Amino acid sequence: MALTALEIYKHLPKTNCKKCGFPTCLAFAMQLGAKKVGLEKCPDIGEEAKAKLESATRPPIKSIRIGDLTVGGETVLFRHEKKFFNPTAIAVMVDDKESDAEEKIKKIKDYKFSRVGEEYFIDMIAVRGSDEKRFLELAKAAKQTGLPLVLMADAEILEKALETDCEEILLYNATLSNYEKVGELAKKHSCSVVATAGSLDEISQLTEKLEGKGVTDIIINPEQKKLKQTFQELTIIRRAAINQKNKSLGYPVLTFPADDTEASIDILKYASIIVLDKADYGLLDGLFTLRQAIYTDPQKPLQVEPKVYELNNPDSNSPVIVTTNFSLTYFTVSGDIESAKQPCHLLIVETEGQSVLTAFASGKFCVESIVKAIKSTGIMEKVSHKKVIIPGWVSMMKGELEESSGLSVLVGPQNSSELKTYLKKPDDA
Amino acid sequence: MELPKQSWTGKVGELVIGNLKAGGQSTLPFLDFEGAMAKPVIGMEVFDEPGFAGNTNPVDWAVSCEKEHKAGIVSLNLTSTNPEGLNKSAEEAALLVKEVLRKISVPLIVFGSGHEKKDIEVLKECAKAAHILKKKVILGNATSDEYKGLAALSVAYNHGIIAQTPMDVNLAKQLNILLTEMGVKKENILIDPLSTALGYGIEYTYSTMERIRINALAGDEMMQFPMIGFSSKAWEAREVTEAKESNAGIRWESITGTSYIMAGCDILITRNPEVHKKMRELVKSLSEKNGTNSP
Repeated sequence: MALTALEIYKHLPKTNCKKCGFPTCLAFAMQLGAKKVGLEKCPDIGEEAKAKLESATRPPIKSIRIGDLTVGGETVLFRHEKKFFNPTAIAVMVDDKESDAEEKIKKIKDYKFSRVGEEYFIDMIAVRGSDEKRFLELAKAAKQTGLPLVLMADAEILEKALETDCEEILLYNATLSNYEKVGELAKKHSCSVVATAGSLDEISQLTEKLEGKGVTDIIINPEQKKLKQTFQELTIIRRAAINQKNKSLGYPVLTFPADDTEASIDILKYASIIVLDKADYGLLDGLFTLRQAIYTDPQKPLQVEPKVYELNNPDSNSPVIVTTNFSLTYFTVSGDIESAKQPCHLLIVETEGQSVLTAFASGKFCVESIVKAIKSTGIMEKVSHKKVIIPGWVSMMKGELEESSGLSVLVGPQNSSELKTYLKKPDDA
Repeated sequence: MELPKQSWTGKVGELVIGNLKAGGQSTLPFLDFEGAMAKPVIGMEVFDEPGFAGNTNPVDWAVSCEKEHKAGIVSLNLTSTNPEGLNKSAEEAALLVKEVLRKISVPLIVFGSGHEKKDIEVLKECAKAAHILKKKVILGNATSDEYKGLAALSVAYNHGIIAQTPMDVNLAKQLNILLTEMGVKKENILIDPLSTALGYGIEYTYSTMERIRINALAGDEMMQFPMIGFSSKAWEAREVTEAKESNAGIRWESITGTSYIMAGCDILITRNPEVHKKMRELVKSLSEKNGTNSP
């Protein structure tokens, strides 16, 4: 049953606190009504209201919170239809049989990846084991990192690892044979639970049974098969949830990719949590970069504010360089200028986040937009010369830009990494 | 459960050269429970510039791509014809192309140096040379600004051509229309939506490929062409050029190539032999018959 925004609004706190990311409770209600956001975004919603609204407002793939991490909440099959909402959580597993398990936990905690102005860390630690004493030691060490955990062990051992309130723990796993026991544990300790089964029909049965027992925070895990079959299952689950409104499969999916290729495929094609064997920093850099790319909102490419950025303390003799406001362009070009230690005024033109080539092809980075940016920032009044440097890829703009602006246009290199050499040369007048 | 199958009205066209078949599928990549899937062709690129990537002889390099690495297709870049570089003549380039064509049995893609005016001269000679040897090649690139020259070569000699546009579904369609209106046969067109490296706009290439493929399957005849991607772009990434670890490039190119294959790329051109091997293994896994029949 679909609720209208007003009907939903009645159950919200009505404080307009903005913690959900929207300016008012009514705005949040509208998004909920359109199933574009998960109810869990409101931290102040009452239990009664939650129960009433949950079913009516949940997105096709349920949104599940594990500590500070949110997974699922997906609504589309293709990122270009709207966007993918919650980036695939990347977990690294530690097994109680590994001799350097504690060091591995530290390595996981220490990993940090920065790119295009954003920082990423490994999202979860998975602890697996069958030796009770050792498992509990590792679970404790992992817990101390503050990261959400996946605890992988028999129900008896899991029970010993759980304290009262464990919202940041994901239990692995509930199956058709043990779901009552594991379900009880999950409910008692407020954990989420991974539901594993061999076929998708069995997964449906399992999630229905768990929900029947009042266990609602479920992550599904089809038993890992060969690459093709697992890939197809991920697609079938997403399609079933969205196109067939199949609620029994409408949960975030967890996978154990066997290698880099499977990990990449899982990020591209619908996995909500991937559990890796190793904390291989090089591989992680690649996977986080892929994840950042795929989970970017196509409507809102990462972009920076269009204005003049003063790099390395420029003065009135320093060159003026022009480029677009696509985040990657800005960070790459400014990074290169900074490492070249050349003072310069970097004029960033509004191109709605499109890169040089794309914005040039689409007409957003053109003579008019550059002239407009020069005028509105008044940059040429800050310098004693009349020269601007344009990116090499748009050298064909030189003539027309000189005519329109009355300035002298120099053509820079195509690749900003060559700016170091370029800027050291005495200018051609 | 009832499998959520999608019924598509359209089919991707097929480019055929000898034993190579690119395209022809009637569903999204590798979802063979609802249609006919195609096997992407994995190939390698070669540069004719002496000393590039440690290779001394482009002919030997091309041969080793096929014999040693089992490349399904070879992409030859005639960068030495660049007038701002070695400025080799179109005739010299054509001689090289002839030599390569005599020594390899897999199909050949021929690119100039990226200098538009020179390229059309070069490709004209190469197209003629290939034709004389009775070999069908693929010529690149036709763009929205410069497509007439290559279109004419395709019409005259029945060679394939690569239609490149900058990550824009509408521009891609428009170029296909312009080419077919000039008489280029549909089965001779390959779409290149402009490949990018992981981290340098890969999501644009990825989504453009997905959209082109969906439009084709939904019945848009001017999108029903196979697509080509270049994972070799990955080597331009800072993460590779400035890496201390030797594996960085292989990893970066693998992830790039995997993404294009999953987006529907029908021909993937790689640079590194290990990546080439990995991509062939990926295609093998995706071509197995053990997919889902009933979940």
